[in-house]
Amino acid sequence: MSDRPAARRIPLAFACLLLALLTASACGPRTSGKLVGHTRPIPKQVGGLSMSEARLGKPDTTFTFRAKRGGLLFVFFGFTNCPDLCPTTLGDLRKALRKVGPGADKVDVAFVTVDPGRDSSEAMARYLGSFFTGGHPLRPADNEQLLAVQAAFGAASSVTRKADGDVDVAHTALSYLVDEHGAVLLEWDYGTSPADLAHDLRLLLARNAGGTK
Amino acid sequence: MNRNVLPVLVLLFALVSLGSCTKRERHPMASEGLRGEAAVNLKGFHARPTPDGATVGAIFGTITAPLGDTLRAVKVAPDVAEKVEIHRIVQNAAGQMEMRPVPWLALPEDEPVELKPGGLHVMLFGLAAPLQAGKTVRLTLLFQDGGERVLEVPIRDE
Ligand SMILES: [Cu+2]
Repeated sequence: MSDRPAARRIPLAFACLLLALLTASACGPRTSGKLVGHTRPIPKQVGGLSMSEARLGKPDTTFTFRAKRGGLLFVFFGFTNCPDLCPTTLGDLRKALRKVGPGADKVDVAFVTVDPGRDSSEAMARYLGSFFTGGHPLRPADNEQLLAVQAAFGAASSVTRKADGDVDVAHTALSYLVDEHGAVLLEWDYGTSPADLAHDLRLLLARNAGGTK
Repeated sequence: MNRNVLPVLVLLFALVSLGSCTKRERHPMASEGLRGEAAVNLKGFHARPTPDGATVGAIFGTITAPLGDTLRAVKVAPDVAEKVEIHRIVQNAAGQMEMRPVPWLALPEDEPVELKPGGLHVMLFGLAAPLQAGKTVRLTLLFQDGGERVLEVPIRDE
């Protein structure tokens, strides 16, 4: 192995340079026009679906899965007795919206409970209200409605009541971004950083503003 | 192996042990326990403030056992939560995320084990009151070697 030192030195130097370049690009703020979240060639359509929206001290209203005009709608499926995935995702989105700054008011946030048996309207409204003002806490009327909405997004969940009274909830933990027409523009994996969320939000808000879609 | 390596290793071990002793957080409660204090390093332990209406909470942090150990159980006072467990988030066969209790958490020798979002956490069920930023929760960790550690976990947003 050690009989051709010169031949080995060049690729090594090149590898170092490459590594340096990669590191530099990974550390700097993302400036590329490429989205971090996943897109589909044919976006899923959810704009025809609606669900009951909880409001504190007021009767429930009906919410339709569409963004405001020129805006974006963030959708996450979870439950209030969720210690990690749900508060992490909502907390990271809150951080991302602070980074986005003035355009953030064009982003609506919907949190759908997959555990309507335990999550009352009031619990949902209070829970989401501690992350965002003006968020949309959504509670399905029955299991059929939940399944229909989840199927449209490609989300899924199951609630299992065990013999000892404990309840196990399993759920997909992707987040979705919907446009004003009800098309799902983007899907983010659980754990996408606030910086990456902010990057994609800025990019899509700029696209909306530029009318380039 | 070179014979010169041995004294170096011994010195290194001594330094590491010394470091772990000085770094260890001492708590008055620890001396009240019958089991003695476990030789583990605890770093960055914190509980997340809970949203309004939440009945569960999570504690995160990093545990390193220089000589290896097993975390057997976690405890908080009944006026904090009804039940405490160590949990791991896993993806089930259907591709969904769910929490599974971890009855014993192995702590490999000198390898930091991180309790962090999306992985492991100390789960608090049936919170008596919301966890408020700025306050603390007293957490007891019980280890396989019979040792325990009591720490005041700050409640803060990371
Ligand atoms: Cu848990």
